[in-house]
Amino acid sequence: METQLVVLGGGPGGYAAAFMAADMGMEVTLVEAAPRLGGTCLLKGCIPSKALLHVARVVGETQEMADWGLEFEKPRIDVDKLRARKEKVISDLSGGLAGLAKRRKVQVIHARASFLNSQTLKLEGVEKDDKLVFEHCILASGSIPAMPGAFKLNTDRVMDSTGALELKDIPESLLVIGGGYIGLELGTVYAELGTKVSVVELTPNLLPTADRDLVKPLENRLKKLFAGIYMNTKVVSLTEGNNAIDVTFEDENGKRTESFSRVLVSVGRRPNSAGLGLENTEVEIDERGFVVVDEQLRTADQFISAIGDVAGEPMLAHKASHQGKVAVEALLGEPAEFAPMAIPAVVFTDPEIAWAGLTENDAKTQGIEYELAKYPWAASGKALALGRTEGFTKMLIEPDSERILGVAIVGVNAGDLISEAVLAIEMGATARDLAETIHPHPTLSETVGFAAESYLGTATEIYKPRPARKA
Amino acid sequence: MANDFKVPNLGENVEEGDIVKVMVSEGDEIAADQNVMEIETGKAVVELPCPFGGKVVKVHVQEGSKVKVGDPLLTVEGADGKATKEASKKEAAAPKAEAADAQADQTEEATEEEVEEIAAKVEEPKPAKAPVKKPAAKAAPKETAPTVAPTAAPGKTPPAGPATRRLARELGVDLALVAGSGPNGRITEDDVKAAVRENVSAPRAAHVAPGAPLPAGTDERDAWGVVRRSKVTAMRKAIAVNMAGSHSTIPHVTNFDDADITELERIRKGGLSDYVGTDIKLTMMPFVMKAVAQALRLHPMVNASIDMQKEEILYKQYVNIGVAVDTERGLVVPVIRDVDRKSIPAIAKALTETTDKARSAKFKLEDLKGGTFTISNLGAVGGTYSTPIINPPEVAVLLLGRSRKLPIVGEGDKIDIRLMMPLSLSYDHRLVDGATAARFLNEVISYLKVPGRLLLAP
Repeated sequence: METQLVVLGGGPGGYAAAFMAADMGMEVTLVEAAPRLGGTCLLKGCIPSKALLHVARVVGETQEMADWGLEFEKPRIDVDKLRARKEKVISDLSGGLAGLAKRRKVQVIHARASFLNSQTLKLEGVEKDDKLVFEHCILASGSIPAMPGAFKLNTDRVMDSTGALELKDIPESLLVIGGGYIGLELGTVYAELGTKVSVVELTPNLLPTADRDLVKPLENRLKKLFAGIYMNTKVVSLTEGNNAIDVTFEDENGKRTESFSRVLVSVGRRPNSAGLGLENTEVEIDERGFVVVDEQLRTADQFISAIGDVAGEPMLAHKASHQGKVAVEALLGEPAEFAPMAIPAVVFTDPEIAWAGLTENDAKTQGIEYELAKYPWAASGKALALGRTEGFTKMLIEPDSERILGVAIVGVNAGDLISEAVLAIEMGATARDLAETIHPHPTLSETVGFAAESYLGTATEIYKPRPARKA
Repeated sequence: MANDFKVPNLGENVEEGDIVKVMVSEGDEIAADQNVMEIETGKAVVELPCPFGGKVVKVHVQEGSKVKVGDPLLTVEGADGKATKEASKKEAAAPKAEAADAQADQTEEATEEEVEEIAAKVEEPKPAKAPVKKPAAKAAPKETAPTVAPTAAPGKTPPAGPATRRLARELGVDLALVAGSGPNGRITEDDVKAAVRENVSAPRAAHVAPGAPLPAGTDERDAWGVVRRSKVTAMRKAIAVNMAGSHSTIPHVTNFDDADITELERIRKGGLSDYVGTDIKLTMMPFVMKAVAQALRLHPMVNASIDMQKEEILYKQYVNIGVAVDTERGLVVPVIRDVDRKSIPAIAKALTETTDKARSAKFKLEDLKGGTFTISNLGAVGGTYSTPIINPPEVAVLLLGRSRKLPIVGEGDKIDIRLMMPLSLSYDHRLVDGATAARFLNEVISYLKVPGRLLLAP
């Protein structure tokens, strides 16, 4: 077999690249090892977790309504029906992708592939003619959950994120190892469904890369939702006990053991670059396993580009799909480069946390000068109406030019609200640009405009003398 | 005197454009740096200022014309002093060595008289100017202190949206050097286009491209600049003597044609994976060699030699094909023997061994002798047709260009996309008649087009 362009991996980066290349007139083959298209994002990541988080949010809201005089009974949960509904979301989206591939005349092959050389892939599970010769390849093989050897037990009671999303049951108790965004999101789902969830984190902080003040409102809420949050604590061992996993912790007070019905290991993800035969090509891989690429997503091998999780941090679907399009355009000689000013990051917990551009952590470690504007949601009518005033919107501003360097939001729907900030940063907008953009009232999106106004000292709901600035 | 205003350098990787608007007509008087055309390159429309003034005596283009960098746009008569740089630098440089070009760029600021003088004396180059001038900010924002430049400080990214940044990439403009016209120096797409215009009308003195490293030798100065004096290597000398001898004694004629290698390429690609892990590279060359060898058996005149002193023709009953190999030291042509009696895989193997030997300089003089025909492959470097020089005592040489897909009118007037390989056959017209050469080339083309014939060849 031969093809002009082969895209290896059918996730959000891979299918975006394949479809765009087909639209631009290339002859495209998409190779995916899984039996369905969609990749981690659609099959065992963003989409199923958001479907389940939506359910968790509804459960949480019914309980909050007690304060308003609305008493709901505890929900009766049919796990099989819930699982089937989540599965339908996935199969609808995946089926849609297959249909789009067909209409665009993208040839889809479901097979495991490995490189024989820089222009030939060997396909496993294809009956005959198992060699695919290509003119160019876009490698989009993604990433897989990291599973340290010490936590590998031969039981489905110890799960990675994929296992947790399968939702086999609602266990009585669950330990989440790792206080990163995947652990906290899935922990939230299980906790709202009725599981006693505990989180253990080796470092002193949940969400270690986020600014501390953003995590605080989430931490306050999780303390009520979760049975336990163990910081500065190490998991020494996991052993299979009687219908449970016995976990030995170690912290400054010594060792202790606790039993959990299930354990979720969410200690990060690693790029899927091994076992693909990349050693038979000129592709370079760094010490963390990422494929080294330039701004046009080209690898050291002239016939191979790489995009998405396998091509470096951050491992996010929206980064992958943008890179996929840049890689295709670059191949066709268009002046495309992957050089964004901001890649938004969102943690879909309750409240959500989202940021884009420069963070305070980064500004401090890199010695970048900034001024901070912070708008507390306690001053927002919409937040009050929702009964969710714990959030805030903050903005990092360059003192001389008043350009927006970064924006971070914690609160309900922060993930949707951050988009305006990404556009502002990409466009080089100033605080005044945002302040003089009329935001609809009453919405949470107003808080972005208000944060900029509070910097200029013109926020209506906040009394703050104008900051002394050079005229 | 009259000067031509030519399409200037429009930016990195921009070589051509469409004229969308002509703003002057013949007979118009124009001032220096007046905008005279609008040209569209990719997605950007840029106004072109003519660097010199005078009377327009000829407009060489019209709206819709496609132009390339260097094409003439206007002829302007009675140009002012500044004008003469374009034309006179060429005149001053032309009678002397090509090496003068680089120096000529540096003399653009000189007047006509000065240009004439520099033929006799060495002129110090004028100080270089920045490639993009920063125009004064249109209206400094009130918050900005007057001493602060409107653009971002070095190391910071200037404020410009993604669409503007893409346009800058397309036009090869460094945003750090562009002055933004928006509040706080925000750069718009118009600013980027303006920067290109500035770049076009600014003197090019700073644009001396970094050159490739030169071989060893001694540097000295002539009237136009520095020249490296380097010894001719033995190999270069041999090439020079052979080429000059061949070209002056043999009446060369070259036929151009194309071979349809669509089917052959499919077969070659299909076989590629069988050679994974071996040292053999299955390129197009072994197939072409086999086709040529078979054709030479059928057209012995092309596989012959002529001896003018004895008035004899020597028909070679063997087919030894020389393959031109580009090495670090120059061109060498090692010979592969009995190609007509070898299978294609055997030719591929012999070719790989021979070229490796040639590149590592391990070849013996014997390896270069006894050829009856030469094939030179320009395809890897690029280019279509050329007029190759015969390697005597051979009487023909075939040059392969880079294959490319072309629309070909097939049976029933259907247009089909076919992969076509450009071929240039030079032959010694003392021995080989035009018709003989054409029949031979047709034979080669037919073998390449129907590779089944090639595979069944004895």
